[in-house]
Amino acid sequence: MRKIISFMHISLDGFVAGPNGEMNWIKVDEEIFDHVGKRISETDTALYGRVTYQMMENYWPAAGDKPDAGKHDIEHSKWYNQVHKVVLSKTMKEAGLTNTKIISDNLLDSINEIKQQASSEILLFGSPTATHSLIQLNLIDGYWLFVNPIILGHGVPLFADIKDKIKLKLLTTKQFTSGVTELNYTVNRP
Amino acid sequence: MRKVILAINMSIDGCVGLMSLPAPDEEVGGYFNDLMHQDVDLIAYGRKMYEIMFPYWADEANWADELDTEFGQRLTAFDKIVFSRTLESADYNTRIVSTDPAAELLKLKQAPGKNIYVGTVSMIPQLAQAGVIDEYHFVVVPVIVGQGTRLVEGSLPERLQLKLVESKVFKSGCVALRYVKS
Repeated sequence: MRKIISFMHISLDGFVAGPNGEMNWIKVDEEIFDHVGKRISETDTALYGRVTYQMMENYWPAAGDKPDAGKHDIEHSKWYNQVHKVVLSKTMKEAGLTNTKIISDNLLDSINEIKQQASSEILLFGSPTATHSLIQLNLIDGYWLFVNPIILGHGVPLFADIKDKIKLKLLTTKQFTSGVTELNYTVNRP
Repeated sequence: MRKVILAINMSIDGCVGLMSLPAPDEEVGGYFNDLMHQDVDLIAYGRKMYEIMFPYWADEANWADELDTEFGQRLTAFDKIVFSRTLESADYNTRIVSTDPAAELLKLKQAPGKNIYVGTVSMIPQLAQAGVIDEYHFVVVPVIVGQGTRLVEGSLPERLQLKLVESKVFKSGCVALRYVKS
């Protein structure tokens, strides 16, 4: 069965954004792009919450065509345009969207149906609200986290309202020049 | 100058409640032990942390094995201060400091001696903000807790940017991240 992996940039104290959604503390450079690019390129399905999806839609479709587009912009834009996108939203409509599936209800069954398909792992990009919903249903199989060397003090927590502790198994870790640490986990299921 | 070192166990999501985290195994316990004993000659506790540690660790009845015994003996013998405006007396080589913790630590840093190890959660914001802490050791436990006491409880006026120095992976999947102030 395909796994859903939550891919997040987090602060040392476990926030994914500042209190007003600030993300300007997240360090992403060529070294990190190169590293994450490998795993992303092997992924054919991306999962988003509505807010993150709209942020992505505003940037990536044409990011590779800009005159000053860098290597990463070109690569990721190309990937973004062809990847199969799944969006959790109660308000969006699928009509008019290419290669995009909207899940508006029956989250458990809809996601499990996608998980049954024979294909690559599914990367869940950012999307704290969607992540919280998926955690509640025990649908996330792994966490791919990039810990930034900063303490925010307050903000949007990575995990909220969890009933039971989630035990993880560390798979790999990597330290980047920028001071970011990659922590790659899989969820321990009994 | 003496360095002030903070070391703490936390979940991936920044929760530090002792009850919500598994007790450190021998390897992680050893990491904290080494930190506390290498080049350190003073431990500074917040009142709550002090009361978690003492009298518990001074009591031989709680020394279950060799490691505990060693830890309990060393910790009890260690020179300690506890920051508190309410404690009236403290035993086990502990001096009570009722003045401003950051100011006291800045003063102690200037005094001759080895490094100072800080054991506290609630004082992290004020000490960090005052630039008192030189080195941070976070041991990230592979668990998501999602509730309870957080590393910093919404009382940090400004973000605190740190500089990563090294990381160390343990068999249990815990990762020690060592930072210095930037």
